[in-house]
Amino acid sequence: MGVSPKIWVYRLLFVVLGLLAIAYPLLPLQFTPERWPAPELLFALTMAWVVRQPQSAPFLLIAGLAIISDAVLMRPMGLWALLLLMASETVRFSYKSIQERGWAMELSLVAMLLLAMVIVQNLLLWVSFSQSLEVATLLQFAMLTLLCYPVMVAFLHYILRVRKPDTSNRPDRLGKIK
Amino acid sequence: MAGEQSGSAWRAIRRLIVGLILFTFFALFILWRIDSPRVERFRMALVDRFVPNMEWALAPVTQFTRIVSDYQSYAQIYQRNQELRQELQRMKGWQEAALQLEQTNAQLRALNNVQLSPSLGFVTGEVITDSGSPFSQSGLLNVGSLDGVEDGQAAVDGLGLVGRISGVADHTARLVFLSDVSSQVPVIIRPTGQRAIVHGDNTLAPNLLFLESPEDVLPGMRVVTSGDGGVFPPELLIGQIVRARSGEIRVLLAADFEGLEFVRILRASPLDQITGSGALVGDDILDEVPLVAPAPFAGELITPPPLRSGE
Repeated sequence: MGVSPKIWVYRLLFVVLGLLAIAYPLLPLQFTPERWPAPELLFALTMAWVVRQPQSAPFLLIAGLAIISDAVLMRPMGLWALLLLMASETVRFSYKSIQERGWAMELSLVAMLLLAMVIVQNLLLWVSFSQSLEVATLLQFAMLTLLCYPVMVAFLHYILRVRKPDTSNRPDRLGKIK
Repeated sequence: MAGEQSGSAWRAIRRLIVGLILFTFFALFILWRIDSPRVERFRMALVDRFVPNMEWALAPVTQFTRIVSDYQSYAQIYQRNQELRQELQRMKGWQEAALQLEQTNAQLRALNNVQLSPSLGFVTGEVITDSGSPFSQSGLLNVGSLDGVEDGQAAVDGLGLVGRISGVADHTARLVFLSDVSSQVPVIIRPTGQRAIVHGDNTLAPNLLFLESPEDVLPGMRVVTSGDGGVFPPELLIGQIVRARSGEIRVLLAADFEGLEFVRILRASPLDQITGSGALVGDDILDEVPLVAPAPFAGELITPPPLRSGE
């Protein structure tokens, strides 16, 4: 993974997309209480990006975006940022094997991570005597976010060309051919 | 890339930094729980830095969506027109009634020499963002402490109370709506004069708590702020009593949350509160007046205080 100028373009792109993902629920379109919670696009973006190109989504950027989103979206400060950074590090740790195992595996892993995050979040809120969320709302939230995930992946893959390195017919660094 | 040695050193440093950040976030969460005001101030500083910058990016999308929804409303324009006409008819009746009442009122006031409470000053702000999270029902205003906005001030739209200011930065302020779960407003129900608390529950028709005799409350009664607690000025319209299908009594908010764009933030400080209970009358006189026999001319003016027992 040589550092090329191109990687800075991708990092910038990641930050811009992250800010947009934070900003979209803020659009002043509807002030009535909504029936559906907004899906967490920053989660989908981060996960999809880290699986594909972990080196252009460094953890510092993810941490910064996460804490901004916590502040701006009036969530408990630091909680979701903590969980998001932990999840992204988990994915980053094993991104190669996730890339190799294919799409269904990736989706189910992301789903499991999201569920774990939601559960831990609510548990911590409950333990700290803050206002925890209803289970129904959380399930809706998790479902919507998961539904957004394939869309986000397709967007990254086809439009922005953030793709997995093509390993099928190229020798890797040690000269082995898979 | 550098050699194996520096690669593993970098990995160790990286792990350390990640650990530090995770710890910071966790500590921030704990701090948020313990000392919320300080963290909320930090949050408002972050918001003040970022959101106005994002506004230029948000504006086109917002405008576009509004145009589309406006266009959709053209489809029902005929129906809308009919409704408006009927409403106008009714309003004309009310206008007449109001004029007459105003005249009577002016006459009565002239007769009475009534001392009115000082009129409210206000600053108008635009709601620039939605809260966008299931945690809270709130919006961000484009006015802040530089415009004289302070925590706890009431915000109204043309018709009724929208919410209260909670969190102020230099150029932005957060407005917590009445529908938020943390919103609790002491109210009076007109015309019975019963007191209760309107408690938000993520709907446009919040609950009424601590209602003394629910059977006296009928749908259609008006609900206004009572001014108890000194946060809101009294007599701001909140809404009307409605009865839910389950029989619950709720308050349908008068403010138009669907088309919320501009709000007025009332800058009046609430009326002076009477602090403390009444003290014993005459007790202080006892302390001030010397117990030695007063000079004869003063003794005629002041009736001698009753002596304490044992003296």
